[in-house]
Parts: sequence; C-alpha cells; structure tokens
Amino acid sequence: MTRTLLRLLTTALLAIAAQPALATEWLDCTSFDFNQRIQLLAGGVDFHQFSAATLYVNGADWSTSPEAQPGQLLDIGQAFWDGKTLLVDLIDPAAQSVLAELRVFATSEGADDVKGGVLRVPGTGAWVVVCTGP
Amino acid sequence: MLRASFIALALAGLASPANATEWVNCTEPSGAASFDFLAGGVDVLSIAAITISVGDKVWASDVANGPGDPVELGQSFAGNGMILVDAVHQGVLVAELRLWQTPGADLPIYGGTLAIPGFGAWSVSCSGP
Repeated sequence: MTRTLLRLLTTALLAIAAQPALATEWLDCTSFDFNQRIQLLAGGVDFHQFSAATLYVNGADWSTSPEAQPGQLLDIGQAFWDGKTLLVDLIDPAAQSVLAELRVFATSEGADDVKGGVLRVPGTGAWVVVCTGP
Repeated sequence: MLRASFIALALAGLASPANATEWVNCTEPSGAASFDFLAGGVDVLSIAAITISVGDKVWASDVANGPGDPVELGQSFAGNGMILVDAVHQGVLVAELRLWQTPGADLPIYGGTLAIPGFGAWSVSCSGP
C-alpha cells in the first residue's frame, strides 16, 4: 500500500515537473507611421492573458513597469482577447481615467494571420493600427 | 379635392431627401486588396453596393460600378463601434470585413481586417463618411 502510494506520488511529481512554464510573448500594435505604439505582454493558455503593457503616443511613454520599461505609470484597466476580438482599456492610475482604448479584430486565411483595428487616446487622437504576435 | 391631395403627396415626395449614400473605401496600405461598400441608412446600416478586389480579381454587386464577378451582400451590422460585413455569392462567402470605428480629429477612423477565402487576409484602413 505504502509502496503503491509512493509510486503514485512520484509519478504525479514527475508529471508536474515535466510541464513547461507558460511562455509569454509581446503583442505589438503600431500605427502606419510608427508614431503610436501599444504593446501587451501576453501569456497564459493561448496567450489570452495580459500581464504588462507599454504605450507610446506622439513621443510620450507609459508603462505598467516603469523600472523595466521607462515611462509614466499606467495600468491595464480591462482586457478581452478570444483569438478573434481584442479589447483593451489602459488606465491612468493617478487620474483614474481611460488613457487608451485598443480595439482589434484578428482573422486568418491560408498562411495569412492578421490583426488590425484602432487605437484611441482620448483628448489626443485616434489611429488605425496593425498588430503582430503572439 | 382628390386632385389637391395628389398634388400635396407629390410635393411631399419631392421635398423628402432621398436617403444619402456614400462610399466607404477600405484598402490594405500597399493596395493588395480592397473592399468598398456604398453605405446609407438612417438608424441602421444599409449597404447598396459592394466592390471587392485582390490582385486582378474583382467582384462587383452592380455592373454600374465596373466589371467584376457577381457578389451580393450576405449580412451586415454596424453598432457599438463595429462594422461587420459579409459578401457572398450563391450562399458562399466571398469576403469578410471586420472594422472598428472610433472618433478621429475631424472624421471617424476605421481599421480592421479583410479576409477573402482562397486568397488571403489583410489589415485594412478605411476612408468614408
């Protein structure tokens, strides 16, 4: 009995150890003139969870981690990504207001996987964006 | 009396503006593919014509807008910042347009994707009303 339990426990531990750490990759959306850019660090199953973000608009930088990516502090307010529709609102934590809205559709055909949509920064502007990754 | 009624009705008809329509032109930045639709409607989106192109291949719902293989509007929806259009022919999907709309400085801006089965998919930017 004890040997059986020990064998089962060993098997379970080996199975857990064999699981790869869930990878993360950046989703990168830029305007056609490259003057506006929003990046989201995607992870989790199917890269549907975002853990960090950076925003670059007309020469100004924001980041969820200014110590790693310099810029003013921002938060990910809300996000939704199901592989076809991406909705992200970035928040200015100081003002508790929406700093940027990202709305993107994704589609694929043959070898083409594309993501395109719009980025809006209230009070500043709005741009068509093209995204790559992950 | 009856004649006066007919005249009043005719004048009312002339005074009512025909629902205005304008073309929305969506293209991939290099021009590899495009999806244009003639949009009208008052409270909801109404599409009167569609023209689609990829390379040398062209589809047109109305020959008045140029030559092309036949295509019809399958379904469309505009609302909550989205414009969704499926173009079909004999029930088969020809092209799928998915756009986000947001206020720009002067005019709304539109960005999203265009997929044409058997040909490819592209990010697109649109100009229009």
